[in-house]
Amino acid sequence: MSSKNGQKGFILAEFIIALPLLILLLYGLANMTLKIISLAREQMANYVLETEAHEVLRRITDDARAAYSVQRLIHDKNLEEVTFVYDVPKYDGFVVFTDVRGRRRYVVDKGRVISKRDGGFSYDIYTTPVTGGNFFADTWVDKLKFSSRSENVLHVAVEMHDNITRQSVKISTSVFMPGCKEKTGFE
Amino acid sequence: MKILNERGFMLLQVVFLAMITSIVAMIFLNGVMQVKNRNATLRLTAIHLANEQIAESESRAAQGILPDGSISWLGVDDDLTTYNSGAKEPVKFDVKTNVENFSDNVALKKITVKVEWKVGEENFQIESEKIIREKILQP
Repeated sequence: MSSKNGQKGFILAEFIIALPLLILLLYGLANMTLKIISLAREQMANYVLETEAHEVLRRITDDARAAYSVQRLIHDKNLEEVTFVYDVPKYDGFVVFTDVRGRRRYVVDKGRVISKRDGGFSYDIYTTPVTGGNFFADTWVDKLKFSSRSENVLHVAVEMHDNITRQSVKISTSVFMPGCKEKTGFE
Repeated sequence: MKILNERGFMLLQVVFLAMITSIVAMIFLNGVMQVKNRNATLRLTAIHLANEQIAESESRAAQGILPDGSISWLGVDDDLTTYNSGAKEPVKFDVKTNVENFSDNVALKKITVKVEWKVGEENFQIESEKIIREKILQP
């Protein structure tokens, strides 16, 4: 534009052409940054969804293996609850419990799988959510179903989706319950 | 301080260079980000399918009715098809199971479950093994 002490600067015409291009560049960069952030969030949400679905099956199958009896309760066509009983009653006038006593119940409450342990008095004493509450995802349990096709085998199916990505996952498995003596609520 | 009469790059040259670099970078990054790890969910689904087959086999072994050799799928048929890949086309799993004696103890059986699936042209598989006790039925 002007020369001062022999230095050459940018001329006004250069700025006029360069400015819109710079704005375009900045817009592209901002767009790219937002895309990277949203993709990272999406991947994180998918990871959490997958991990939580796995955790539901892992917790239920771990508890089922040691159960003395299993009870199924149907709430609607997609949501069921299961209770594992570890008590071993002896009918000699007293009820004698084993070391692992009480019951463990898995129920879906407002889209979250909740594990409730009955310490002998109430289920509400020990309540822990198995899914949900993660900062990186907003998961929702759509289906939790139990069935039993073979002797002492519990089939568990869980279907969940994430409200951020709208991705869903459905995983099923079975567990063998060697010590199970009673099954109630199954066809 | 002595100022030399140096000539650097023009602003326009710098801006054009930055634009070309950004366009190349955008094309490259876009390609990289679209590669998603969908196979992780399928692998997890396959592991639980293998567990399902092992549980059904354990139940039969406890009743003394688990045959030796190759056995078919014992679980729920619907579980063999999944949409967990995120694609519109379902992925089908193929479960191959083999039961054989483990060591000299006839009551111990080794179950090997192989779950295979295909995504596009790529083949994947996982393998799971378990030693179980079989009930010996009295003749």
